[in-house]
Amino acid sequence: MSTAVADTCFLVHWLRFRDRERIFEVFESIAVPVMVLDEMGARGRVMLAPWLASRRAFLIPRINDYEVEALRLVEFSRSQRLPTLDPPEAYCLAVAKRRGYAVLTDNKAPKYLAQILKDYSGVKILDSLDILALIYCDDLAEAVKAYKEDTGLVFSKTRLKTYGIDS
Amino acid sequence: MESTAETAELAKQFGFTINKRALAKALKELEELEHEAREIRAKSADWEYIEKQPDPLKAALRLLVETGDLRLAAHIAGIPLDELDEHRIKAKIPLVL
Repeated sequence: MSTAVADTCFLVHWLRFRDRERIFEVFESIAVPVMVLDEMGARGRVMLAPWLASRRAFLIPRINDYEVEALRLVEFSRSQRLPTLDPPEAYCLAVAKRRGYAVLTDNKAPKYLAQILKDYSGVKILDSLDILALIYCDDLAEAVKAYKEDTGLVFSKTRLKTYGIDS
Repeated sequence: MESTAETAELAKQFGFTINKRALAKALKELEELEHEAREIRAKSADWEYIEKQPDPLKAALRLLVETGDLRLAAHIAGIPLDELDEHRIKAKIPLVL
């Protein structure tokens, strides 16, 4: 099993999910940049604390090399035609590329930039639906329903179809 | 609107190389997804709840319905991302992935 670096939006949603602990069936550990932690409020930090205490999650400090690379990505994504990347998700991408981690994000920008930029084509970008699919192979429809109840997130019909679910 | 060639040139200036075919496919896909997502958010939102909130939270929730950008909405509201997400759930604004 491997490590994934998590963006704020993903964590905020996933930590609400009743079966959130099952993510460790997919990843051995979750890296959390301090930049991401800084965006979370009291609730998110409280939920994250047990993961940090048990060393299943660990913090990544601000490192100049990653910050410079993140800024390069953010500036490029300001191009009018591309989805805009925010600094924390850009930082996650920079860390993932250097360390060989997957990126966990519920934002579209990192996923599309990784498809568009050849330099990032080797970085695996996963959102909540991708993780649910990895955990609940045979029972995905029920898991999607539970996730929607717990988080208020919905998945587009197009994406659900790619996982064999007709909504 | 920039062309694919201009985006490729911009990428070069930043030291990146782009996959032009992936760019065209991604832009088309994004446009379709965002259209569907905006409709779902606007239809599901509890506008009565949103309009009752004080500014800047009200402005942030309106922006969230329009863009789906939780991070930007949290910045506008001036609260942490997970607190804004609590308000999003109360305002029945689904985020569409």
